[in-house]
Amino acid sequence: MSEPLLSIENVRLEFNTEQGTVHALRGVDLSVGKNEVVGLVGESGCGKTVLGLAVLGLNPMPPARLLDGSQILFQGRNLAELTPHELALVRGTGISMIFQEPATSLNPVFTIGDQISESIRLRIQRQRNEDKSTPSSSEIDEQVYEALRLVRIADPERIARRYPHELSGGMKQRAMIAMAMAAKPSLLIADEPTTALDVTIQAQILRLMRDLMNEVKTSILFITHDLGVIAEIADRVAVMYAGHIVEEAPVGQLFAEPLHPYTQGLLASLPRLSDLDREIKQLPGSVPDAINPPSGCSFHPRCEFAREECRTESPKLKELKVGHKVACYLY
Amino acid sequence: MGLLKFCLKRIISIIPVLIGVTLLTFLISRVVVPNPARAWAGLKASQATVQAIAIRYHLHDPLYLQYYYYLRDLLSGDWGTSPVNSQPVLDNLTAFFPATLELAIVAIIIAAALGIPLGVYAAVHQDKGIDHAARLFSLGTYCAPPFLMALLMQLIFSYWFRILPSGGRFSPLYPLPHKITGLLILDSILSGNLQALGIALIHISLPALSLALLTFGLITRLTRSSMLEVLRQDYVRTARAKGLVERVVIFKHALRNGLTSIVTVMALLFAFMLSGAIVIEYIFNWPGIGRYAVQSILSLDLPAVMGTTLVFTLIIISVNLLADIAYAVLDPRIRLD
Amino acid sequence: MSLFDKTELRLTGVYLLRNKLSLAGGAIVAAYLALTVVVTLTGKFLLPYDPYVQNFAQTLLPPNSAHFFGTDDLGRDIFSRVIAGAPIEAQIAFVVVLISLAFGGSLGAFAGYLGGMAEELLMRITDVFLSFPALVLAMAVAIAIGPGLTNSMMALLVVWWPWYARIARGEALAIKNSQYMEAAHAAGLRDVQIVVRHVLPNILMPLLVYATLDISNVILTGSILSFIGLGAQPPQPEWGRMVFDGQDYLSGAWWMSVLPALAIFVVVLAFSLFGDGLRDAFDPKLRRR
Repeated sequence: MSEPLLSIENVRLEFNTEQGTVHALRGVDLSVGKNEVVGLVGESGCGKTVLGLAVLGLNPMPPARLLDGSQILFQGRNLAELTPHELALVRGTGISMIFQEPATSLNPVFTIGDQISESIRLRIQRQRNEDKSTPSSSEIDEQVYEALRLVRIADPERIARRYPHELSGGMKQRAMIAMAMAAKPSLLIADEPTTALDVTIQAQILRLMRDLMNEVKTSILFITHDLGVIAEIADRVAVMYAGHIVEEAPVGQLFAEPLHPYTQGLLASLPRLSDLDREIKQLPGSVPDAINPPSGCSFHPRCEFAREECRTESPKLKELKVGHKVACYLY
Repeated sequence: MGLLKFCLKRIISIIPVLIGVTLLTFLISRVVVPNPARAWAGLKASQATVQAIAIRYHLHDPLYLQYYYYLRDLLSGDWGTSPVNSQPVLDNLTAFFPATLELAIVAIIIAAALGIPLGVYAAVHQDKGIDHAARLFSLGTYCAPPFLMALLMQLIFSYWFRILPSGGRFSPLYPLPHKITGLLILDSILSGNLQALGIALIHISLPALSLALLTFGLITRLTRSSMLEVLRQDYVRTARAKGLVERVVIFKHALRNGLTSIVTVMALLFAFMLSGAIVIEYIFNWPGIGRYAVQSILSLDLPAVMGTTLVFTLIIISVNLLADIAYAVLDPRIRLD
Repeated sequence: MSLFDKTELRLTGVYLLRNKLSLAGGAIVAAYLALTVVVTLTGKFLLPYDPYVQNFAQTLLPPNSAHFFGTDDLGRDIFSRVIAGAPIEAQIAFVVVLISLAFGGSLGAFAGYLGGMAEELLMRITDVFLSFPALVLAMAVAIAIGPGLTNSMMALLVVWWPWYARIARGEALAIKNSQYMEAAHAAGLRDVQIVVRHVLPNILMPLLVYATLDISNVILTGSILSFIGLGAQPPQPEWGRMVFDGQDYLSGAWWMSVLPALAIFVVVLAFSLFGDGLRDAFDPKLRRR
């Protein structure tokens, strides 16, 4: 495989809270290559959002702390070691991020056009041009409209003058995507972008993102808890549980042949239209306490195949077949 | 809804309040006062004058009729005559108003220039040393009685160090600048009179500083709590995710949202400041409506006191209205009504 | 819904203790109140000097070991006068706040609960009152009814009650739609009974917290009123009045004005710090486990 765009290695992150230290990320390994959509799936509380934020250093740093040995390699640099100012330079034009709630994630007092043009100006500022000419405001406006057209918004001139609260949920999310893409990042991190939307709008946005990826060649790290969404959009999938990646595979492989007991449990709990009589199995137990995680493999308290070694040491990710990794002592 | 329609709606909603306010001042000056005719004529007035006053202000008519005459007089500019200096109260007020306006403007500029950055800084560095110091300092200045501030300033800078004048708006030894607006600083600048500018600035510094210190604590507290609220918002995180520098994130994205709540309490701030101005003007012998109010009280000049009451209230109502409009300008969501 | 839930009180106490500034404020408030009680009961007995006796041999003396705060232009000991004047501020503050709370709070509770015309009327009336800056309206009323301690309290009452009416109305509105109220209504209680027995007790807490913070505001405004001459008349040792009397001697005998002014400042600050801490302690959002 060619050089990955983003390589996350042994990332560990904890939060200092009054109740104790929350071990949110406990040694995560993940990579995103060029021109691919990597899905990161897991239940609430598994740490997937924290991982997305950690790449760009957006977790509030007084309570949060990245532990030594964490490596987030992007364009030859370890993002975990950059100063806040250096990190700001990577954000937007290198790696961009969109969030779950477009209603609160867009600034209510600036127009859509204003907010998008900020990204555009930032990109222009950072490019090294031979002719250091500053584009005129009408040129910037044109680029804003282009960005809006890219996300399939008809009548971009009118929308650009609108404020966020004047748009519907789907439009707001498109605007967010436009804003993120306007800086032309190599990688887009999408944190549950469709969760807050209606199902029909959800489908539209997913289709849009897939088309965008083909047109603009930006990779996407798509974070979600919804396996159905993953099936639609991802090329590769990583399954996360209690701060670890437990399985990673091409999307078809994962659904056809889940190896990790947790993945198997997740898939078994999905209702399927094609098999209405099938009994839905529920995963026993609940998500582990992040302050006092179980010893050894975090999943062992809920696993029907748990063995002695599962209780003592956490299994590492092993590549079983080509492109299919799993962290389990069964293999 | 559009800004214009919003403004019109707000202006119309003020009218019942204005009626209520004039009704209350009317009741105080005619009903609460034990002997209105005597009070309006002045304590030293002869019986004949008292009776003339009673006739002029229709004091023997039924109350509702009296109120009608009262309103009519107010609107036509007859706010009564001061028994102390025999001048129409409204004339006195218009003469003294520019001085208070100038003092208020300078004080607010100083207070905002000090208070807003300090509030932002305290919010960004919450719970650290500077935050606690800022909170204590702002509470302290808010709790200080206005005369404490003014007297200490006067004591230290006028009497002990002798670097600033202890009172007055201008030196009697020099000619005033050519009158254009009535605001001495502005007039000096407009007519290029540097000497007058210097004198005016020296004289305004202590009163303005006292007034500013009184108010800046409130501004700091408000800015801080407003910013704390804003910095928690998702759109601040988005701004960082876009790659904007921290300074831009705080001063463009966060502060702009924080300002809306600061503006809404500007009216509260103004009322607070006006009350302080009354005392501070008196102590520094600043010829504004605050000093006029105190002098009127000391000389038991009822028409003048009622006049200043009305004027102060009208100022506050106007400031409230402006704040509402400013809020609608700053926050587009409000215009949807 | 017990008014004094024991766990609530304990948590509040713990939180208060953690906030050192509020505690300091509370200590000063307690000391001040204790002083007030003592002076009211013992009169001139415990004071170093009689606060009313003039002594022309000892005028305008700076603070020294005999006269801690110096003497004024009539030879009176300022320290004794400041102590003697302490109950006056407390009296004004507590009378005004408690009556405003009782009167305004009840009015607001009724209006908020009953809704409709009653509520509208109350809102309009309080709107008018609240358009006036507090000091300005108090000044107008005070000059109309004449100077004096009782009159200044009445003037302040006129100005202060609307705040409590507003808050009570807001709180009553919040409670009005709760199921608890529906149950009371369904049980056949008349409106008056509901308000008195159920609404009032529940809004009492927030009103009391506000009142504690408000005491400092009343003291400040009251002191300005007496500074202008509308409060307690000389020779009563009211602090605001003492500041005014000392103005003419500022350059030569600053202690005449500055020390009573500082006394006002300390008391106001103490009540504010304590009230702030109290409010934070009762705010469930700010409280941490």
